Amino acid sequence: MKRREFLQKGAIVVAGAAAMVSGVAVVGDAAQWTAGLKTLNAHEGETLLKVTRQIFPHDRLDDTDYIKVVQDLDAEAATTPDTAKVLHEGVATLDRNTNNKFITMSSADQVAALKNIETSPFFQKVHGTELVSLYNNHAVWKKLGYQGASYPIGGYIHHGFNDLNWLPDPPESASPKPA
Amino acid sequence: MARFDPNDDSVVVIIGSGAGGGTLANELCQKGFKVVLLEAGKHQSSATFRNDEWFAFNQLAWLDKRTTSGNWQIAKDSPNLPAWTCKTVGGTTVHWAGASLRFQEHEFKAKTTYSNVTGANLLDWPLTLAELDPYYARAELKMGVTRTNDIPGLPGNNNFKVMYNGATRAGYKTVHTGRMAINSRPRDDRSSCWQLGFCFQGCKSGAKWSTLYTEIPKAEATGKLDLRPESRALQIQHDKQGKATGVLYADKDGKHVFQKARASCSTRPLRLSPRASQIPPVRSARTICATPPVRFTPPSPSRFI
Repeated sequence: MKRREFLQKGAIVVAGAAAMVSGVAVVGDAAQWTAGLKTLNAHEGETLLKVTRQIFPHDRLDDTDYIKVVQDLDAEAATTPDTAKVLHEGVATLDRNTNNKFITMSSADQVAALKNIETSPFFQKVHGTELVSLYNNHAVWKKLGYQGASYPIGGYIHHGFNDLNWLPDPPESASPKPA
Repeated sequence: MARFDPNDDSVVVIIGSGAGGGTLANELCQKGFKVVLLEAGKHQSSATFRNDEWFAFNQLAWLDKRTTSGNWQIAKDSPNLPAWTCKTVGGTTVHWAGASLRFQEHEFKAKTTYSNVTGANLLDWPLTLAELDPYYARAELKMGVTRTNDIPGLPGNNNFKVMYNGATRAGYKTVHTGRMAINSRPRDDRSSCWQLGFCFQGCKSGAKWSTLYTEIPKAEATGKLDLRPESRALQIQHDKQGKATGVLYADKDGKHVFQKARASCSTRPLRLSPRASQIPPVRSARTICATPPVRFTPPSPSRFI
């Protein structure tokens, strides 16, 4: 199974994350950021950092971007016992399945370990939360090259919406000039 | 804006302020009818829309828990995911893309055209293109659909250039920027399209037709419209003859209100009447079609003007 299929297997459970509001992450080393977790312990935080990066891998994103996802999961766990249980048990399962080596495994082995649990509530919870927490982060938009809102610049009508020049222009009948 | 008494049984109650309800409200108000327009969602505007997909989803979509069953993929993957249709004044005309195509002749005859498809229950529409053409024409004029009524098409963006070149090389003959209910020129006191790229998040330029800022304000200007946002219809009540007597709804505080009516209509299946079993269901509610389900409830002409 390709990575893409694997990722699509995870249910998109965005509903539960609807009210997700993120804190600001200022991160130094691992000890510092995991010390700020409310419900998850340091090992669980470190594990989830690896998990979140494997689920939506982007070379150009920093650990800080994924740490924010873990912080959002932790914040939900602090107020929702079911979430805390799912996360505690999920990390424990990953550890058990990998002889406690998940964090230090190769990337390919981590993906394989996650594939084994892709239908689990744990995987789905992390996937669903991350989908919103990671991709609705404006800092992440910037790093991925997404410009975001266009209204403040008056839309793209005068900002290159039709500036492609490596193909012939369609005729006016198909694509009239802007008003 | 008008405010009618809940005991005023001369009003028409319309459930939902989207393409069907919002338009009908304006048509009736223009003819002098008093209309109570119930809308479950809040009243937003171009000023409160944001170019932010997740924010807009939470602002406009039906976030109410959805349930589904059966063996289709959605039931397995995300049975409770809210639907990206709108619960807001203007309904899904706030979110729609503006694509305004006419059905083609053969599409009215799905069963005849495609015969019996195993596992499907296709039906022919009890309507022909010729019968609907005059209504298409009225809708296109009202909404300002491009490439109708001498309205120019929209300018193609970079994606369109790629699509046009690919499609024509693949042999397609008719390739253009489509018939869209989005202003390519200023029209109807609304601006032309800014190419914002956020049509689905509520059009901040107002170029895209939505009942929110076309039909509803025009209806309000007649003094005949009582728009009630955050009012969720619960039940259409009717007498023994099946004539609507009014609509029970919950206001924003959850308080139940009964609005008397001379007639009521809804474009979504809402058959919660205590005597609904006396009235036969309409087939369209059980048959999937390419357009949003449109029906009047209860399905008797006597309850609808």
